[in-house]
Amino acid sequence: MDIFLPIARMSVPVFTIAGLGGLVGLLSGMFGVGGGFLMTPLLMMLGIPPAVAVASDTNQIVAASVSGTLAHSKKKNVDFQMGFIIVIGGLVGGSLGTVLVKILRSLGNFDLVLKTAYVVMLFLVGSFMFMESLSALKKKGESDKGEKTAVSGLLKRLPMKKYFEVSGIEASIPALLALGLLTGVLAAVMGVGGGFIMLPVMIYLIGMPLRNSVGTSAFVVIFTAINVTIAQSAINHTVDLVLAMLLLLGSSAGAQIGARLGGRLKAAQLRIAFSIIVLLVMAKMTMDLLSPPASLIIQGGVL
Amino acid sequence: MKAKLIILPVLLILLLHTTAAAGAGLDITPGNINIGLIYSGSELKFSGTAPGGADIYVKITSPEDLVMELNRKGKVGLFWLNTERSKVSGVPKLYHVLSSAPMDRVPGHLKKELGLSEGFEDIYTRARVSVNRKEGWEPAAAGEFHDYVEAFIGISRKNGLYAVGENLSVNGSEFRGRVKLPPGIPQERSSVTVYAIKDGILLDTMQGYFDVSGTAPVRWLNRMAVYDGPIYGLMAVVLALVFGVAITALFNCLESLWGGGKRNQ
Repeated sequence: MDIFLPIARMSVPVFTIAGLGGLVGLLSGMFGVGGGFLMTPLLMMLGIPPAVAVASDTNQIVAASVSGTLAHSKKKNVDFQMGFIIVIGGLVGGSLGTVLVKILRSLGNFDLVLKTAYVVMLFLVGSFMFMESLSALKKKGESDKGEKTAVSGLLKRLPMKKYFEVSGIEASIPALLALGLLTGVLAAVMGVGGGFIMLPVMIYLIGMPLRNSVGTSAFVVIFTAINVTIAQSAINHTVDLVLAMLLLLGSSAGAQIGARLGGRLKAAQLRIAFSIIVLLVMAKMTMDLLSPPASLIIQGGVL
Repeated sequence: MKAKLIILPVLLILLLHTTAAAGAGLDITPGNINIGLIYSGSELKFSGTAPGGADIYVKITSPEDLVMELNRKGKVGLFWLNTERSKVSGVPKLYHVLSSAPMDRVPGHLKKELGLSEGFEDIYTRARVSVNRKEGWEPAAAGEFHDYVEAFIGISRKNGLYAVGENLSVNGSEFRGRVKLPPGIPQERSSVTVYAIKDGILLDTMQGYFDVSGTAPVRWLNRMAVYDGPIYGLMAVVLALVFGVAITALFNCLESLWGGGKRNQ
């Protein structure tokens, strides 16, 4: 059965789109990421104009993240207090990042700098997590108590500390705001929701236990996605409500299943799975950048 | 007598208008295409009468009001990146050419004049291409112009909006044909122009129209997205929040039923 998308002005198969939503929602529930890195290219492969694919995807991320957050909060895995502090930093960072994008664009070669930075960052995060989780798996009796790194130790020595009961850790409020800010800037510059950056930051820099990181990351992504959806609707007019509704029906259900599946895995297993996805995305991006395109001129968007 | 003097010209004017809208001797069905949420394209049928022995060529086009943005990829260092943005404008979104005989039977000058060709050469003369440079949007140079228009035609062909086919049937002086219109057809009035050509001479031309419009929900969503962007965005967010909560409640309910069932066993 096909359905007509009023903004994209094309018909799409209902079950394929809802299925795609389900697949990406599964990742969202398991890892607390939005999944835009995967969904946008898949929608474009179905012929949906890039501008509509990006904007409608952020709208469905709102639903998937709400669903994921609620599923995780039932298991007391969402640190709402810490999440709110990071959200404040993230929203300010997002606005600063938008200005930074404008400046970088005016300097030229923005795409080159951006994509190189993205690939390098994915490689570093993915390979570090993979190696670290592999060694953790080898140790018997591994528990999900958060990673102790030099940065997480430093954060605990900074002023205005607060004990976060849900995560069971102590962290400095200005440091959390700064980390939220950094995540927001990176998310805006790289054009991603921030879940990919947020999860490693929470685990390795803040020292949060993995399960709390996943739940809290999903909570933070709700606000980033709301912000982007309204901005896309107001400025670009490219959110296709029908497409978003189909996607979010699948993704909300997928997020519920993902959160339950994630709960059955060991923390290190979950980190390994996440790092493999990060490395696969990195490999796909590198291939896209290095291999000659099928066509040198492609559609940007119908105005 | 005075009444007859008034009524006759009025009837004549009405008759002329009717034939102009429908096309003299040209029947188009459906005359109105309504695009609803369950829409996957339409079949447009047309038929009519033309001078016997003539080859029939049909051109189906929408108004020349499309603006399409294109990106050119180039190699920067090792990477293939978007290096230039352009806009192709002044072209129709829909352009189908159908014929009852091979296109090469039409003389070159007529092809050019009537816009009948396999390669849509007509588009190269009508299109406007501007390129985004540091100084702003500027007209494309000759080489760039050709590349962008060629890419635009290729994309439109792939989307089923531009097509050429020899699928018209002629029986004596009657002709008929059908064409599959894709879901992405422009929502406006498009025209069907029929040319009867014999021995390289244009014998007759007929023109008719069909209207394409969205149903009430489609029109409302379009209007909201374009003219009330922030409210539309807010509405999208609220719906997403509601769906997220509702699906969670549904899963919790199913889980408790499932769990209850297990406990009862």
